[in-house]
Amino acid sequence: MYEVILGIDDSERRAIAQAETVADLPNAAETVHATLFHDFTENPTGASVHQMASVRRAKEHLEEAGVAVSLQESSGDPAQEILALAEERDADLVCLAGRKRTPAGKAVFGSVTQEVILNANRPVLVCSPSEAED
Amino acid sequence: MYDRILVPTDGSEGSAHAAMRAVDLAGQYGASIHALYVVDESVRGLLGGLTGSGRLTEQGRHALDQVAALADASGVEAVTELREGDPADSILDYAEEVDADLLVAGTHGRSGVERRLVGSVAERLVRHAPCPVLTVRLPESDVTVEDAGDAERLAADALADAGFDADIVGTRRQTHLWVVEAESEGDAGDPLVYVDPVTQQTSVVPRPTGRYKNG
Repeated sequence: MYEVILGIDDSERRAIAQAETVADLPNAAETVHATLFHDFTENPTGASVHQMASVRRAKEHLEEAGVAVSLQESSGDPAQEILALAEERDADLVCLAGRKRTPAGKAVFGSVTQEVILNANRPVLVCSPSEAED
Repeated sequence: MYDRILVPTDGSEGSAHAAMRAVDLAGQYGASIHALYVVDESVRGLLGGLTGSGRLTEQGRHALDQVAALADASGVEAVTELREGDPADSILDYAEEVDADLLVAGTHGRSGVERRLVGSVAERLVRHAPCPVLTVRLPESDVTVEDAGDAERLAADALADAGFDADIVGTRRQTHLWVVEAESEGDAGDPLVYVDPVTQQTSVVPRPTGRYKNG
């Protein structure tokens, strides 16, 4: 299987853009296994990834497209946690969402995306900010 | 789905690796490749007096020819374009012009100042691109496929995986790739195997018999 890790934050729009992008991969239904990953940074209330609306929307979208999905969560530094999971799973691809643009038109993208791109030993697919904005 | 995949190249091993990915994806999607080389105006200004301004242009043409050859061997349509300007701006402009669906960019695992400089192009592409951006990192490790024998062993495995019963007949080193030629029985044709000398990634290209004999 082609293992894809989707680093999902709390934005439903971005999560859906990521799910659509992954569902568009070649033969996604037959070949892709997607791990939806959310990092809580700090999680004093013990929230679960299963409760995240963004994660659930992405999961629905991928499952409708016939893609096998599993969920994973962590608490810690987001970029480090994504990179560690990618290594652990020997992921073929990490998919992240670009940030939305500010009114001034400047895309605010997180240090997380930058850190993952520069440190991942594997391909990183970043959905376009405009796509995530729709 | 993707119809037009843009792959900027700077002629480095990192960008050759990105080009290989891009061509591979284009083959799977039935997409065309748009390869772009940008003669960096700031570098040109610095080197102009030393090397003559044609040098970078010539380098760019060579890098683009390599991507085109890679695409051609995979049966993927390729368009090449050479521009002059700021790399990130030129890439973004071109992506809009050709209405690219995907941008495949190599990133170097560099540190310190160099990383800031190189990272800034990838960062700007990710920030501003009108389409998804696939970044392909060249691992820290240097060349791991050191000689033709190593390349042939990897190619033989790749051919077996792809279902070819083929004999390897020749291996040559291109600037950033090993190209292994093989001959097989029957209608399957004579496949080519590209081997990335750094990542050991292989790409098997089936060729109809008789084509590309002079290529």
